[in-house]
Amino acid sequence: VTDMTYVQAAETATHTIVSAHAADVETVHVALELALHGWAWFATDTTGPIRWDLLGTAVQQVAASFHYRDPIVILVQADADEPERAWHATTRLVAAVAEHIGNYFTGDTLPPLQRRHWRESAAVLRTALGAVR
Amino acid sequence: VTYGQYVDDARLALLEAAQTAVTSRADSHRQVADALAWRNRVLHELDRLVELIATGARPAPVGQPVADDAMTLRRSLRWARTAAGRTEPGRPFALSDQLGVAAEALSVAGDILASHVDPINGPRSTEGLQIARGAGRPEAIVEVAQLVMTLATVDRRLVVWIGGDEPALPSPAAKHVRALRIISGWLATVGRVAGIASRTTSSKRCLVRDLVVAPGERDPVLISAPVAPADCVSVLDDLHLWLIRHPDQVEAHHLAAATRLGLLVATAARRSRCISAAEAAGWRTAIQAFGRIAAPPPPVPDEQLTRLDQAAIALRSDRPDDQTLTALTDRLPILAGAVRTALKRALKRGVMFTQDKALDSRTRTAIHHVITMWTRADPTDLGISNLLVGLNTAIGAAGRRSDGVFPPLVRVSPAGNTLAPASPSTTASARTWSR
Repeated sequence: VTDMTYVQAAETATHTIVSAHAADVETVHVALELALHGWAWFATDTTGPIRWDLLGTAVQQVAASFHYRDPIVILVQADADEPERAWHATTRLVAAVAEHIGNYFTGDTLPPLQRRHWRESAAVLRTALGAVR
Repeated sequence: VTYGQYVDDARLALLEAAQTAVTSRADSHRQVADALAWRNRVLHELDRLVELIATGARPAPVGQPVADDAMTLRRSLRWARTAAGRTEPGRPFALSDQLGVAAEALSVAGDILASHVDPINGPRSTEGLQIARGAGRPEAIVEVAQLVMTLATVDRRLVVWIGGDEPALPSPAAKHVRALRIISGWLATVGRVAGIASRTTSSKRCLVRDLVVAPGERDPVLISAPVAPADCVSVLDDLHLWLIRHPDQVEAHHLAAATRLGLLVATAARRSRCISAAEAAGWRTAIQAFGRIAAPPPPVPDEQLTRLDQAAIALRSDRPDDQTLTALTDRLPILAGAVRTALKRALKRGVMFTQDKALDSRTRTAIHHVITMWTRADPTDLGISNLLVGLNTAIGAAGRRSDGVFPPLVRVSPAGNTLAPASPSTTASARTWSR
């Protein structure tokens, strides 16, 4: 367990992704795994699981594209965060990921199939964000 | 830059124009003509936005009067347009400039929207497909109506300029007097638009506001097989048969997509209080178990997976109607049973892989990479057992939901192509197996 809370980790990842000027596969992978961790941790019956489920399933669908990479284990102090703050940090994180994928993962240098896959991935995340906002 | 940001730019420019119209006066007919011309352009762009937002909308059921609102707005906007006004090069004039900025911003917002919904050839993207089905429309229509009301504030000042007690110019041109009559008449009826603008929507943020321009290429797979919530019933039925009839083709990503769909149906049902929290939690446990199971997407597009993913998008975007929801909810335990059976067969075929990991030494950050090997799964692996626990929980809770009248599971004959109701012992034996 580290000193970093879930919200701090999510905000750090969001900042890194927003600041990136090229495709950052590593951070996007970390961000998606982090969002999945948030879903697993905060989606309890008392914290409004429906919105977490709508977003979490979309994130998981996109995160599966990274299964060729080494998986990530995330150790953060999630119990130090309020669910509402965690939720907002997660939506900001997922929005940043969707924009990053749309901007940097769909370039003309990629094969058409991959381009289409990432376009759809960004669309899946945006549609989920639209559903929960 | 998103559609919403351009609309915000337009709103800001219109607010500035309204302020300018109050604090400044025109000193020539050219300036009045210029302001009227840019005002007409703003009206044109607003009309285009409404047309794009409502593309394909039909007179809607109660609670979603998008088509009616769009018609009201478009009638009002066309009425408001005047023939007067023409942009001419001349001395810069703040009001015209601000209306020009608003018109340009609305034009770009319209281009972004058009790149997704394409009113002539049909939707070009997933988002366009969802908008065409109604997602985000009410919020977008309300936003346009609010812009129209801001423009009406500018118009009230224009009326004063042209023909008020202290007109900006002592002898207004005849064409400006005609414009005055049209604008005054329009302002008298703008109350209907105000009604739309004041409507409370679920959220200011909506799918439409988040749009960025769509890529040029159309996705044929995406567009050729659209799925609406009502279609999800047949998607589940087809999936059920496919899982049973083609066990040799089932991969982990199919099981993940099917389980995801199960959770989304459970989520929709939970919203309407049709199922217990325990049943939804069972599906959540099941899908989250895929965090430990390798389920990468296939290297080439897979028709079955595409359809499941489209159904998932449809369920996230729209709430199914009561009849559809009932049909979907009734199929939940059947889906869980089918996934469980398919999982069992996939394990026997050796196509399921789970993580076998150990923490490496990089412990200075919050996020720890692990040295990973995907190893062939067996029922005792944590990911697999969690998946089975979740599915069994969902099936058990569904059984209690229907007061003991458990929907018949389907059993497969050894040939793999015969369907028959399962015996009551099927569930019990699977539970035993899961341990």
